[in-house]
Amino acid sequence: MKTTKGVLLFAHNNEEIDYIKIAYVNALMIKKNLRVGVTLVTDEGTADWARETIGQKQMQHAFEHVIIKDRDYVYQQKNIRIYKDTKTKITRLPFYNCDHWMAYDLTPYDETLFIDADYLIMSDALNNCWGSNQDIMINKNIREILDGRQTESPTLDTFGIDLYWATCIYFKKTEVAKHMFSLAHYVYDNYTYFRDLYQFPGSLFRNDFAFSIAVHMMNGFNETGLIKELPIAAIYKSFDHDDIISINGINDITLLLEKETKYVEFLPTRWHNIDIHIMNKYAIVRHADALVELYT
Amino acid sequence: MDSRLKQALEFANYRQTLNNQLQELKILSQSRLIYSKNGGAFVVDRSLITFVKILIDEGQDEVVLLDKNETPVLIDELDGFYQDLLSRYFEVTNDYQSEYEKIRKSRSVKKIIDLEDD
Repeated sequence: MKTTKGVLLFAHNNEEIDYIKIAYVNALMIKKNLRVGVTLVTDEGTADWARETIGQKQMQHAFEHVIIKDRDYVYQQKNIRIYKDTKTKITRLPFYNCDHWMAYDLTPYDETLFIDADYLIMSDALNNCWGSNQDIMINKNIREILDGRQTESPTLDTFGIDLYWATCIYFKKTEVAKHMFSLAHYVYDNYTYFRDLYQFPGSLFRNDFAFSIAVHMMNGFNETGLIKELPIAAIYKSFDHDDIISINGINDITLLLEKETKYVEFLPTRWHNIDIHIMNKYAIVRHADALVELYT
Repeated sequence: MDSRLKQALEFANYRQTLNNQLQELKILSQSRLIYSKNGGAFVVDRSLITFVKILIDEGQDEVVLLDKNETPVLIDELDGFYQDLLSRYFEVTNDYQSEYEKIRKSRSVKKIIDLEDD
């Protein structure tokens, strides 16, 4: 029997960030570069917004399945994060990310690439995942796109366990992957306990932390073993202090990157044919129409 | 600001942009040098190519190789695998060289980013 494969995206809007528009843009980029179907998990309010602003036909073109889940409005008001549009705009908004542990049960595929909506797929590098001998792959290897700029600590706290990035997870419908997502769910349900146990800072729920703890458990409470990294060089990320200044063509963008040593001083960088996690969501939305036109 | 100092700072900015763009090119090449086969992911480099060639010269046709994650992967038709590695390696390094020269010859930040000819 032929195995099915595809990409799973989650998108839940808040008052300012049009996550479903970002997911829509990325779905078009995925279809162009990976040539696989995309499934979207969202909520009724966000889906209604998309039907109005993007259009029903366009959504059907981008997504082969749209899965609607109930939204937990109590959680939403508790999980507040800081969003930055460079350093000129800093806003505190709800961050709805509490359902990523559901990915295993929700995916319609035998092999799934579960990626953040803002991890823009600008290459076919992730096609190396399909048919892998691994049940699940997730990266701890993350790099900054500005050479020499400090990225986040490689561990949950100074002396803590390795930090894995839930930005992109490959998994198959197997027992191993199922257990991994069950553990991530368990961490989500008992987040305060795990925050005290693993001594990481902040009250914001982060899937990176939940999956890092799940990986640690899956590895037998050790740092090496069962869970391997994705077959890519690394996950590359920009900061929310950075901005996209132009879309030059298919898989080709120019960014302004804030220098680490100077406040509000930027360096231009042309980025092409490499997938990138864009932390400044406003920047993606600003260029969404240009991207849609290119990738449709 | 002293004009000599201004020029020096502009040059520093140019050097930083140049370095970052060359770094981006290196990343792109590293990414393209990952090759999947039979469920494993291999980094195509000189040592893998040489090792596979030695195995072929020794008369091997089916071997187990350790991939990027140190997972054993059975490779049958070793000669075809070798040809794939070679062609991927030269495809990527040739592109790398040609793009590298374009960037290296650019003498201003604008030219580095726009990739215009000097």
